[in-house]
Amino acid sequence: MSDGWNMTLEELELRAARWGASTEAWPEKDRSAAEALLERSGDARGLIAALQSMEADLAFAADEGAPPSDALTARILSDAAEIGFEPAPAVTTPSRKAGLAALWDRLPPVWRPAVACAASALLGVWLGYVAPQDVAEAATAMAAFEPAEEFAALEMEDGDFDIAFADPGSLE
Amino acid sequence: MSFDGMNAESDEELLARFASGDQAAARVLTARLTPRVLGLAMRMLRDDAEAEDVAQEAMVRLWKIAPDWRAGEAKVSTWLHRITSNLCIDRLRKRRRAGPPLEDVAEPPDPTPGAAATMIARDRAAAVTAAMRNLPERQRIAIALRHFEDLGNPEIAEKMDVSVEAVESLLARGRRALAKELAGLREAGNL
Repeated sequence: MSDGWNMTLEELELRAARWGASTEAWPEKDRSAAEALLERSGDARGLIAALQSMEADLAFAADEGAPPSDALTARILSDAAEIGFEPAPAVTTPSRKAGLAALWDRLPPVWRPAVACAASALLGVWLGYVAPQDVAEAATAMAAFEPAEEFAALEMEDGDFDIAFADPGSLE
Repeated sequence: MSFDGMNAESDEELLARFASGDQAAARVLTARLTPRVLGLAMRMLRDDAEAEDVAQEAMVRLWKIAPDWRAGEAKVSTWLHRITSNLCIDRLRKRRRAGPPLEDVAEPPDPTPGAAATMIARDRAAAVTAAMRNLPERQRIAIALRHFEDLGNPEIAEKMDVSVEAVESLLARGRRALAKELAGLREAGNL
């Protein structure tokens, strides 16, 4: 129903310019008035059919474009070469040191002491594995060590111990 | 990457490649984007040489903006069509300043109607271009912005510096004339 509104051909044309020639997409009131006009007017049906066909032609043309001449293509590519940008530098693999440093930086501060302790423990295990003979020899040497006469342990006032040269000239 | 491989890439990806120094990406973008840019300019300007100049200028602007292009903000093709239609409108305004307002002057007939009719049989898009050339300037611009750039009537009004009602009137008259011409070509078997 058109609610008593008799749409004219001109009004139909203006609405087609506003919303397109397919009346399905129009607001309800305008669509029902247009459908009533299309029912009673052959001119209205002819107009809408021609507009729908034209819209299809325009949509086709929009997608199709116009093929550029070889000369125009060459001009455009020449511009691109003239404006052209430097190639991006080749990506290099970061050094191991940089990678570990970056990993350390990314580590939350609260975890750093624990990670440092774990790393130290691993280092100790590794040293014990790769050089047990050297470590045993070092332990023997330490047990046989007796302080030389030049050194003397002095008790400090606060209870700590320190070592001082009794005779600095003995090192010469 | 091969030319075929690049054809599968989006305009935005190719533009990023061009900004990184890849000239092959420029060739793919030119082949892909220039036809629509040129078609839009030809339909708006009615002058093929001037349309080619506009297409070249629009592509130059694309090359220049490549390093600053921010992916995801707009489609390259949409941006390029906006640039093209703006360049066309600028040229049409310069033409007006150089002579009497074109809307007061009857549009000259297409200089090559016979050639256009022959071409029409082979190319539907060329038929539309030829038919649009017979429209008065402002109707032609309104139709180009609406149908080739997908602008709404308020945006067209802003670009053309007229009211929305004036745009609707221009569109209604232009579409009627164009529909009539295309229907005539279709009946004559040329479309």
